[in-house]
Amino acid sequence: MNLTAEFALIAPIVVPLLVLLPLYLARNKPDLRESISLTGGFLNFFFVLYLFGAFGRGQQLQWDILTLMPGVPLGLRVDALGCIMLLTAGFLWPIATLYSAGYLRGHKEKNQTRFFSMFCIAIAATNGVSLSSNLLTLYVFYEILSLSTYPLVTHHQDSEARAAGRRYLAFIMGGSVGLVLPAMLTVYSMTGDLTFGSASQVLQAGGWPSALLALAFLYGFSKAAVMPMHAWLPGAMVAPTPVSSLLHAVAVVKIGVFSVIRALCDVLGPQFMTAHNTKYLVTALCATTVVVSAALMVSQDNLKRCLAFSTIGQLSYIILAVSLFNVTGIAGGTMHIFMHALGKITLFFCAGAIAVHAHKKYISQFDGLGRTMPWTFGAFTVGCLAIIGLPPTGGFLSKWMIVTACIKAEMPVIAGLLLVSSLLKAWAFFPIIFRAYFKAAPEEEHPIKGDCDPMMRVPLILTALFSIIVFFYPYYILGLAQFFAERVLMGGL
Amino acid sequence: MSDQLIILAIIYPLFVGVVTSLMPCRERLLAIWGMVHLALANLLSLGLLVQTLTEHQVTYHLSGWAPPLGIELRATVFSGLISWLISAVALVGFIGGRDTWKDQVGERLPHFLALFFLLVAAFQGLCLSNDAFNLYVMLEISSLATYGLIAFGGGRAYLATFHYIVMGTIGASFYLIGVGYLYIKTGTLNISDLAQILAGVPWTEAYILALGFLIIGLLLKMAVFPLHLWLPNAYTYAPDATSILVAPLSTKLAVFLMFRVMFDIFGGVIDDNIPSWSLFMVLLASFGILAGTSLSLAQRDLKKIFACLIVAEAGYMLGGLWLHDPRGNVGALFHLVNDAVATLVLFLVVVAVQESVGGRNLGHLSGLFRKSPLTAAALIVVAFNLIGVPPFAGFFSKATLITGAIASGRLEFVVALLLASLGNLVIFFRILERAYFPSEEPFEEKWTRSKRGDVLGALALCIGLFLIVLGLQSNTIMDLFIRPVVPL
Repeated sequence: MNLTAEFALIAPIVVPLLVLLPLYLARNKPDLRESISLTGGFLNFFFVLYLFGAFGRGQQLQWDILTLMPGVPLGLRVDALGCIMLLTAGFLWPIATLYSAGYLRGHKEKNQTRFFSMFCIAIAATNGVSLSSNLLTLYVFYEILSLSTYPLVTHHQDSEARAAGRRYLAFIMGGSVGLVLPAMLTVYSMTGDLTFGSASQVLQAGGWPSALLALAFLYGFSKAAVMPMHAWLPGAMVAPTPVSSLLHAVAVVKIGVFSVIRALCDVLGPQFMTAHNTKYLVTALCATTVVVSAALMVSQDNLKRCLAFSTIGQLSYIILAVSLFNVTGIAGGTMHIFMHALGKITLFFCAGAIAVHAHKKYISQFDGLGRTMPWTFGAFTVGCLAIIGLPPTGGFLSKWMIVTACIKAEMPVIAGLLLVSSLLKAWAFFPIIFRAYFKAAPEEEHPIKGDCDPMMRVPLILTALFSIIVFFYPYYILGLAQFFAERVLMGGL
Repeated sequence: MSDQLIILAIIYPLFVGVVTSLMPCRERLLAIWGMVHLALANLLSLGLLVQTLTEHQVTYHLSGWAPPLGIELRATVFSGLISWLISAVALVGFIGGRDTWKDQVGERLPHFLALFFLLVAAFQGLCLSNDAFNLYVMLEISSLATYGLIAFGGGRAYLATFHYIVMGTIGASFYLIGVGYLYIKTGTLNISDLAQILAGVPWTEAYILALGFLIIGLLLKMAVFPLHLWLPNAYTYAPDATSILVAPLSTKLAVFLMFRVMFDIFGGVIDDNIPSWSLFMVLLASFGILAGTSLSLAQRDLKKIFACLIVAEAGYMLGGLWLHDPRGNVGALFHLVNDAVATLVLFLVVVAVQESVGGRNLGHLSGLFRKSPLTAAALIVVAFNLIGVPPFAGFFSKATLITGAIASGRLEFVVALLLASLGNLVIFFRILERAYFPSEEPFEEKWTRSKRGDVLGALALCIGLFLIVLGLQSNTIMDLFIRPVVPL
């Protein structure tokens, strides 16, 4: 362990926070402010790549900063799962920043500096969760993330935002304080250890309490939005679209899933989950969420709500895959974190672009838009393919692995349910595309001309392109995912 | 000089108080006078703290009389910490309450400040004395000074003071009766001496009675539900300069006294002879936590909301002390420190809010984020601490308490603590929502930054941010100050 390694390890947390002060000082100069945000984003991505490289070379990066509770440090560590999450958030943050700039200006939003500041704090907390080496450290950053996103959800400060904010806090904080905290402390008092990988080796499964612990983590990390803890997510869509895209499609919800995976795989461990068939319970609950959310999706007219329900389903997909506890399942699930992020952020970017440029939020108004906004709808189509899980997008690969894992685990019913949910998603998405391309545009007084602002167009094309690129070059992510899966199932740190 | 620090910590504020009562009523002069002396008192306590850290224990025999007969002062590492905490809270409270002197205290300021210093002296005595009867004297001095300080509020404060006098006197008398029983049975009042004798004699009902009186008396002073009735009104209608000093310390020192009765006097004999008391006490604490939180939810006056929270917090510490687990006891004592600081911030925020928006009802709060962002920030910080968001100190005290409760199988206490966290979430977001969202009235007045409010808010924020340091260093603090005094 040397100084540079420690510096690199903490950089993804500190860099977004260091941006805050210049951001505040440049509050009256939007161009400068956005370039500062972007610089922060690129700097952060650079450090993430450095950590990824170091991890790939087999370097052990670990730093216990101070002791929080006896035997539990405030500890940072890089591992395969953390790398996937860091790459996802680090890669998409600068793109989303560029998009936010275009969106907020196009929409003439107020309090843009507060928006960017809270965004930075949320990213710092996201990276903190990814880097945590034990459950308590993870919990610390998880709570910071919850609270820093409250001002983003309630950005408009109207009564709708107030109601959404209340619901958001009730579910997120209720889950983390009411369920995760007691579950975590129960594990702590049983093992005296909360370090990922080593706590699970000490923990003994004992009858039905073990199922309760698993459920407390599954529902307590309510950012993962497993039904019925999903109710905050559609409401949180009142936030500006960049928030929905990066946070409620990528960072926040993925952190929920990430935390559940950490709890199930690294704190409770495969033996614990297999004893008393706890893992089947998790699988069943997630399968239900997948199907129900896909069914709800079909009936939505508001595009952002429709996407929210799709997100809920995809998150449960990931947990379901991991709860199978075979190599293909865990690898497929963790890989899906990245693949889904690319597809879903594209869709949200498109939804925001349509809202700003064409002032349309409802699917039923999209007639003929595909011909006036070809770039946006091209990207939208790619995003849909990625979410449904069709080639040539990265979503196909992870979904393929997840379905294979179900068959390997001898659960063809679950595999069937997953396919049904994909069909439902196709049923929800294809009419939108059909409507946009093949229906005639209605007669309007001020017809929309051209595609959206380049500040929004470039990001959404980029993410759509990458969705396709990862289909052909998935090796880095696949390697990380498989490395993680083997580590969990073989045991060891 | 250094062996006199411990007695100086007590008598220095006492003498300053006497002199203050003779001073002319000149606000500026009194403010400087008070700040200088409180700063010096801080140095004394800090010196004592360093001394306890190097020598582990500091003892002092009053006028040279040896312990069983004479009065002994004794500072452990923890009481050293509390002694400094008292001086520090007094200094900050003095500065924070200064703005309200003109409106709320008026002509009799020297007398008010004399009582203020007397109270500080009594608090120091409560924390440093090692003599059961002397502790009673200090308890009474602190109560009498508090009665006077609260009654300065006028109006509804008179009735509140009267309630407090009645219940406080009953509490103190119970404590005195308990000490009397112990004296009859053992012939000594020195705490270390008592512990030695009690460990060797057979257990009789007389001790149960003595302990019962002591505990009930202290429960009253701690304001544990259902013996809390005196507290909310007394703290709400007191002048702000009073509540800012009394609220953070008064009930906490009663908790510390209970800790000393349980562990320094009765040592291990409670667990051996009357294990069922713990069952009852933790249950009482759980009820108290829920009752305090619900009471607080029902209020609309910011100061009363916070006063009711003190009732709930007393439950945390009571439960922690009575858990059959050292972690619970450590958690209770750490919570004592954390809660003293947090309550100080809360009451500073009350003053700052009044300065910046001109009232302290929930309805006044709209636009606080514009009028005084620093006050709002301080409110956020202390809210997170009370909700138990990591890495604030409140999270770690709560986590330690919960771990202790899980280890000793007291699920009702776990549930009560978690519900209280969620209750605090509702309480504080109800406040923050009003401060954050613009008012729904059609025409809004033009918002102006309040300078005075911002200065006070900055003070509160600095101390609030100290809670993060306290939280991140919680394990070190427990290792240094708390674990040495808690028997394993």
